[in-house]
Amino acid sequence: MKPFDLENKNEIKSGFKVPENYFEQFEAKMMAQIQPEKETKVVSIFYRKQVWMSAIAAVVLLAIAIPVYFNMANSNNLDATTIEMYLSQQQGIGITELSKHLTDEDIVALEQNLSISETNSDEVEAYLSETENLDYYINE
Amino acid sequence: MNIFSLIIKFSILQDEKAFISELLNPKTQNEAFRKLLQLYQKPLYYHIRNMVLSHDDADDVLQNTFIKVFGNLKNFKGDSKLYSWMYRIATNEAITFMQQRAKKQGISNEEAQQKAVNKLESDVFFDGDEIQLKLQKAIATLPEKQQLVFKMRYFEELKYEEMSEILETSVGALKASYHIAVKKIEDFLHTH
Repeated sequence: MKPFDLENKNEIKSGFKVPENYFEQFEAKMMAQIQPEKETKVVSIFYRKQVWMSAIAAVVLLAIAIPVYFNMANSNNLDATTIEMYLSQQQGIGITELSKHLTDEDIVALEQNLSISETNSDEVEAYLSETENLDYYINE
Repeated sequence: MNIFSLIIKFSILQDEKAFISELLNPKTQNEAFRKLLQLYQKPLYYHIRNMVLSHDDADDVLQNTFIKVFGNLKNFKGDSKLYSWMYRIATNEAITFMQQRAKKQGISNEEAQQKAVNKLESDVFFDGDEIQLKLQKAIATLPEKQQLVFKMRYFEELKYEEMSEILETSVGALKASYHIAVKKIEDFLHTH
């Protein structure tokens, strides 16, 4: 048997083969493999878009809802005509019901408005005594 | 180092930098990756195949290698050349694969490698004659590092400087490893 000399030109090949078109197929396989990564990225961007869209929708909704809410709260301050109309239409509300809700301050204010005071109470009495149909009014 | 070789080295580095930014730019990424595959799939395949021996295993490891390369490109610092970085990933992937293969069978790395060599006889993608098979058996008796050095130098015909960058070992140590490996293999071939 002749001696082996690995360092000289009689080079021994590894003997490894590959299937036909292996490298072409490998290239195609790898190129396809890096694509799904991009697709998931697209999905994630879309998902982010959804989050953004719902965030914007929520802000818009709040922007509309808050002024509407405060407007509704303000409209609790009913105007005087509405109250008058209501009271006039309510059968059960008379002098007694109204006077029940009047505070001392209200009475003083009413007295001042109607110019009824200690000083002119005699005049009022005189007027009342002179008026013929007094009984009728009082009963009323 | 004279001024011309400096200029050449600089322009190679600039080209590589441009290529890496093409690989990272989403617009040019696809074509750049195709170019990377076309340049390196063959040498990296044979590098891995020489280590793991079976075609199917080499195919798996090569695939993992390119997935790792592509996934880690943004972390590639450019401290070493792109090809030596890729060879290093391929080498590590192949070593990890061989360790797992041995672990799965509950045997040592050396025993697993011997088994893989014995399978070559019936491998349709190995068309080696008697002497080629004997050479594979001889290599399998070497320590792991010597096997790697021998295969890279003898089959892949890489330069010591290139091997030094890939394996991060000095040229002197690689030369010593190679000569020890050659001696052992020649002895094996004479006595078997």
